[in-house]
Amino acid sequence: MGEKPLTPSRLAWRRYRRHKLAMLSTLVLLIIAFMCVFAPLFTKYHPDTQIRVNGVLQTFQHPQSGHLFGTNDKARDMWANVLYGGRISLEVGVVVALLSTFVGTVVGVFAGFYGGWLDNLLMRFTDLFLAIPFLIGAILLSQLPTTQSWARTIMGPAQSVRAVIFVIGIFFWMPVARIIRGLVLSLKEKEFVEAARAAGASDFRIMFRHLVPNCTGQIIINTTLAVAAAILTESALSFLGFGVEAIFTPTWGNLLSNSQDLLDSYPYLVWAPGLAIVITVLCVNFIGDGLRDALDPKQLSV
Amino acid sequence: MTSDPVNVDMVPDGATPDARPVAGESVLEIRDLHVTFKTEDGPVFAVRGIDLDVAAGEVLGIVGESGSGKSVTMLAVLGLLPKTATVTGSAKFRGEELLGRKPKDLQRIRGAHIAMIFQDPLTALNPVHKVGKQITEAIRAHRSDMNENEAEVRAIELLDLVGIPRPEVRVRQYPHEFSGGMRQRAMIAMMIANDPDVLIADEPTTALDVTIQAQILELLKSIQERTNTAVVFITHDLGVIARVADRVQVMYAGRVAENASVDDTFHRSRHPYTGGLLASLPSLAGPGQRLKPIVGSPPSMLFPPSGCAFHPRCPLAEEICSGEQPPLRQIDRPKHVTACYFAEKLAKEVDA
Amino acid sequence: MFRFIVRRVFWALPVLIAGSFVLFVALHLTTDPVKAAIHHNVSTEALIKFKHDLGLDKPLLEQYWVFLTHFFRGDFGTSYTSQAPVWPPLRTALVNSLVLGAFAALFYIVVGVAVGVISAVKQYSWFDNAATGLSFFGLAMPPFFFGLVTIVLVGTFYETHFHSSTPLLPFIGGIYSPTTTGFNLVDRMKHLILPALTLSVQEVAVYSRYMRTGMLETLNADYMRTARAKGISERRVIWHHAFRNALIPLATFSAIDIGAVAGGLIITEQIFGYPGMGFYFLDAFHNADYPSLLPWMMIVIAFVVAFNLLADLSYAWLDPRIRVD
Repeated sequence: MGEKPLTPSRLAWRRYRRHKLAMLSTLVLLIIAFMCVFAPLFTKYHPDTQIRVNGVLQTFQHPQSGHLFGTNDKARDMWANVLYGGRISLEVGVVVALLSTFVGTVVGVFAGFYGGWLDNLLMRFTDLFLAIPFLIGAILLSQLPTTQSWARTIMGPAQSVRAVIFVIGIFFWMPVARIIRGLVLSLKEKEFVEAARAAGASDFRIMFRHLVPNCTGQIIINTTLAVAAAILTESALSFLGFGVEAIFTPTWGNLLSNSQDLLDSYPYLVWAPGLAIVITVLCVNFIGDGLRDALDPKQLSV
Repeated sequence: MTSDPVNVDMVPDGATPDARPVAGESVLEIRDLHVTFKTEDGPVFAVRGIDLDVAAGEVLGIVGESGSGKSVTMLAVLGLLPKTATVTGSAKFRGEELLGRKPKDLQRIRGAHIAMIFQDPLTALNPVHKVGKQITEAIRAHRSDMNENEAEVRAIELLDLVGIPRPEVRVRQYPHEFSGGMRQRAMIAMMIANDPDVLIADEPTTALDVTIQAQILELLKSIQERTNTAVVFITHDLGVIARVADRVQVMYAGRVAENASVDDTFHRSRHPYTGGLLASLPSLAGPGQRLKPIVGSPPSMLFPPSGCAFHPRCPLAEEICSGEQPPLRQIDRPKHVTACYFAEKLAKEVDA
Repeated sequence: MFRFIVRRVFWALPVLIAGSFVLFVALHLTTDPVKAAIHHNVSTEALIKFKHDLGLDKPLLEQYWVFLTHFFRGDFGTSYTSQAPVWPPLRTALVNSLVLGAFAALFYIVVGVAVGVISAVKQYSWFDNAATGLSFFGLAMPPFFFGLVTIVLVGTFYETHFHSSTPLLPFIGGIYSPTTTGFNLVDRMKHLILPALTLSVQEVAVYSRYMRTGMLETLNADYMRTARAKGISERRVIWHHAFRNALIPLATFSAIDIGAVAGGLIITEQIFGYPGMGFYFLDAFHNADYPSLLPWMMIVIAFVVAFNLLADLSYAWLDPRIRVD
């Protein structure tokens, strides 16, 4: 059989490998990420460059050699825009996921562990925010920097990348906190916590060396799915006009929304960013599914 | 007790007799049963050639450690195994073959002719339905002539029969409102509702307190005596076997090790595994003496040992044991078979 | 049970007030009706008077109190932009959203649940694999992307390939075609189809995955084996035992999902120009029309809170272990 000991992580990796779609998606996602991060390797154009041939602006060029995704109304190369835009969309997805998971986990662990008034306060707080429809809240929040300078300092200018990350992230941590709190509540009663306490472990130690590691499976899955959700949300906000402004930088979301009226005449302008989103989110979701299979606590024993 | 009406949509090969079985008639006959599970890590050979007989009115105790295949055998008979299981061999209920039948046919047998009670009554009962409803459901599945009210009356009778106080109140309660012992009684009530010919009890007391255990065993014994139902009692606890069983079948690693009367099993065992089980009982070790567990641990059924599965842990093992599986054979005692090449040697030691 | 309801309703009120207050503050911080009114070419003195007349120069808390007291008296005020009472257009928007929401919900809940149950019962069959594939696809697609695609499909694509001068289904704005007068059920239905379909794409995916997971959990429970051992029919085993248990988390989820309808159809309504609550909000927001926005917020939050309460109630009703609180 195997020479190496079967640790839970090795077991999980083995199970993940069996999930063919997840493996394929991991590969595809890595390729996409690579191409976006190293965009200059894959395109000679900058997303802002207005392409002229013999002094003539090359607007609305159909997909052809040299312009894989054609050019838009401002004679900008769409392939370059999708690649550079991908950087931002992926960045938004990953940063939102990581930040919200981090904050959510910390809050959830504290709330679940200490219970009492802290738990009550935090849960009422999240209840409140969950009562407000997400998009409404996001829209309002996104406009805060337009009139409030303190908001501009924290979030950056309205509808900048930093602002959008902030806007989405601030709503994403709450469901995470709920889930982690629930997990901690059930784990808190288990014997290993009593044992740790009897051995003299401090609260902090119990929380972060014992409880949180037992939630890693759930945390990893949540983070992954949050990436997909964040990318979709960014595009939704862009559609409504409250996402990252195109003047700052292209993102898949604003590329999509800026071309929506042109769907009839120049469909490739919509398909390019649209497919980019769909494929990326699909991959992330498959990976999340594979992770869920691999990290299922019920299957962690041989 | 009333007998079941003859079922009109019966399959040609063997009709279920409508009369109660006579004493001594074979109600359950299993031959060469094999059950293999398909898993991510490969095939798991849970049952590897079992023969088993149960006669009407008799209590057969099946003893073995976890993984011996004792529960799987019975689940296979009733067709209650998941789709990942492949079952071969033969299992006949009063002459009618049960393996490979369509689920619809098995539904006629389940609950009415062969019933099974399970280990953990908390998870085995549906938490969202009242206990009474779960019992009437069992009744009305096989008695189309009864309406809900009549069935409920019968349910109350049954709850009373199994010793639940204030059954008319309890019948409208939910499983979580019952204590562990009462839940098991309720499950027993549910499964004897249609007066089955065979009652299979799969570790019914393992999840209960010791004192409740005794009560449940008494209950099962009294039911068995009154209705003359055949009982198959699955357990890992020899103490329980001593109290309820007439005959004992010892199983190890998916095969039969020994089959004998309860008296022979305890006083004249002819298999080293049985001997090991008996020796490890605390009561048999005198005060101050060390416990004598069987060395080693049960084998993985992914890669069962060759030949006699017990040979890695057996004090009598020799080279022949790892070669071919020893056949089940009678040594000296009547109706007492064992699967060991050195049974005669063991017999001399044991009888001494 | 009754005490449970009373206690939850009691808590709902502060949430309502707190939520609306937060939104009130956020509104005031993010928009300025005076600035928005500048479009109408007025002088600075007029602007100051405008601000004073509307009470916008008073402290925030006072403004909020004024709004709250008026709201609970049923007085929603008049719009800044239209000078007309707020309630009639708000009511219309609410009804429109509810109609669309209900219509779509009927479809996607039934389909989603059915697909989920069948997927679970026939796990790994072609149906399950196809359903899973489609669900993943539906979940990966930005909803407005799908909406845009359907518009093109029933619009230009249909017109060119089927030689028609009008699209297959109406998709531009309104609940009626410009030519319809009064109440016309068929026309109304036609205008609902595309938005409902777009809304359903994601929802069916979510519900079917959710139901599938829920059913798989119950299908593997011990009591399923007991049920089969009783000899009851397989159909009864699946519906009366497995599904009944899987219903518990489904009902809770469903209630919360539906509660979001009042304020949550922004994107769908925007794609198709459907005059519901989302459309109403965006319009009022661009004009910083506070009197229109504030009652809107109260209603939306009230819906969410009410349906959350319903979710908890349904959970208690369906799961007898949760009765006592």
